[in-house]
Amino acid sequence: MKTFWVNAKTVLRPLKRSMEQHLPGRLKVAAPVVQAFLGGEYATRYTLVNFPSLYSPQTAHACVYDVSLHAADGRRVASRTVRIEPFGSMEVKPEDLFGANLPDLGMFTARIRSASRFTFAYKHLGVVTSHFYALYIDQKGSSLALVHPQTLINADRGENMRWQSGYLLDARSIRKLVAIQINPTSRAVDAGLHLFRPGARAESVCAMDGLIPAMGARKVVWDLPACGITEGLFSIAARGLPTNNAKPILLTYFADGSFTGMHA
Amino acid sequence: MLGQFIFSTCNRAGLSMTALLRNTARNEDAGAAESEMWVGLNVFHEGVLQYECAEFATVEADGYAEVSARTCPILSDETKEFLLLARCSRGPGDGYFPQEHQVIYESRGDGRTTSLLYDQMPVPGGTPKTNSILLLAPKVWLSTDVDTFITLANVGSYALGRSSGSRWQIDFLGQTGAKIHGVVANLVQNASHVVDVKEALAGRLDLTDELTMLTVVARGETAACAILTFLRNRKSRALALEHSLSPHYYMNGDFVRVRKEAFLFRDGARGGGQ
Repeated sequence: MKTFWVNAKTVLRPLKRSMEQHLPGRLKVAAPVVQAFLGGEYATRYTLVNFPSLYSPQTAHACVYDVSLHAADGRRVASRTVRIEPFGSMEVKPEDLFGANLPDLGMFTARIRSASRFTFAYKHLGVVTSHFYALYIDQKGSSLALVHPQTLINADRGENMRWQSGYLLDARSIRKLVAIQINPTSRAVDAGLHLFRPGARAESVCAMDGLIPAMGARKVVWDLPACGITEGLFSIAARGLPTNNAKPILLTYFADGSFTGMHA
Repeated sequence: MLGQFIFSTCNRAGLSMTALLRNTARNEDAGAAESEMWVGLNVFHEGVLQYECAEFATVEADGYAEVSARTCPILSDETKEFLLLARCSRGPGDGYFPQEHQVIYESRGDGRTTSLLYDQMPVPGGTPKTNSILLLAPKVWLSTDVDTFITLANVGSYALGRSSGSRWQIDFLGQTGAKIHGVVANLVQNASHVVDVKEALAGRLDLTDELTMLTVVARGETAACAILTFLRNRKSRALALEHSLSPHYYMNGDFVRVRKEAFLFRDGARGGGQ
């Protein structure tokens, strides 16, 4: 009997593999990807793209992104579904997609899926993760900041990580530092950020602690001269992160009031 | 432990480059980097080795080594684009160690800067093998004032002298998926190539004061490539910078088949416009 089952498995395994390869199925997708949202004095743009079609152009299909916007307190402001044709893309302007009454700060989530329930295409791509960038600008058009995809909803916890950024920021040219932290998890996170000067005698200054609600965000502002940081190089560190790649977005402000930004 | 950091100039956009090669701990390993890091530096222009220094710098724990026109004077030639390869070693063994380094680009004349942190790559053993890659850049914006530049720091063989090129197909797609334009470029290995998107699309796209988003898709062969995208507002002098992500970040399937099929792309979606 045992020999029969072993032989049956040996026969059926290639058949199962062949069926999986040749029968249609859903596109396998990872958890939604998140990016910070900045409203108010800022404008934010996201770049959704039908990238599976570019990697499998001869069996290209439309794709769908399920997108949501959360306010800083974690409340879901709105959700939408957008369809993107093969090889196409969509510049998401949150005020056009979700309406004009948007919060000043929050978090945008996007999850790609196939437009058709069953498809032969894309099976060879494996598990697909949404891939989009965020552009932050000011209302005057005098500032630009571009940030790659940040992290996934409910990625591995980072509360116990002693994270410090590798960035060295030059206090001679930066007057103000703004950090945006998002919490793409289902629980509130007690977060701490501080600045420090690198070196053996690294000294923590200007610590800013706060609670980030589940699916929420917080904004921390350092007036550098007020913190006594007017020259030399400095950096930023965190007492834990909401998830392991939920590093803050940094906006570095120059003397003329404009900024650029980066994923810390 | 070894790693190589690939970076490049972007003189074509009027930017001066400074790199800060870091020797730091990573995330949960905070405090682990207590060893010195040694740096060798090679600088190439158009496939030709222009500068070589096996002992460019020693970086103490939590410190940095600056690579700029100040520390590497060949970089003061603003008429050329340079590809830079920093070979970093730390501790015993020849395995890879992850380490992020920082690049800073400053707009000549007004001092505006933008900065980026990204990882060094493993050092390939033996002769580097070229492989097909697809660049996906869904982060191109143009307007009458805003330009986008894409730098491809294309690493090939480390042999001295001019190395061979590789054929790249670079396509510019509107939001409908329609191909606005495509160019074929022979990218020399061990060279930095700058794509000025606005110049490439001159006469093919009507620009206004409003930002227009495009996707750039490029297919070619390389041993290793660091790809950066720069946004610049010529009027306000605003600058932004971000790196591309390898497809491994957003899919995990059969990459042999992915590479093969991605190169079958021809003309994009039918129809014009954006």
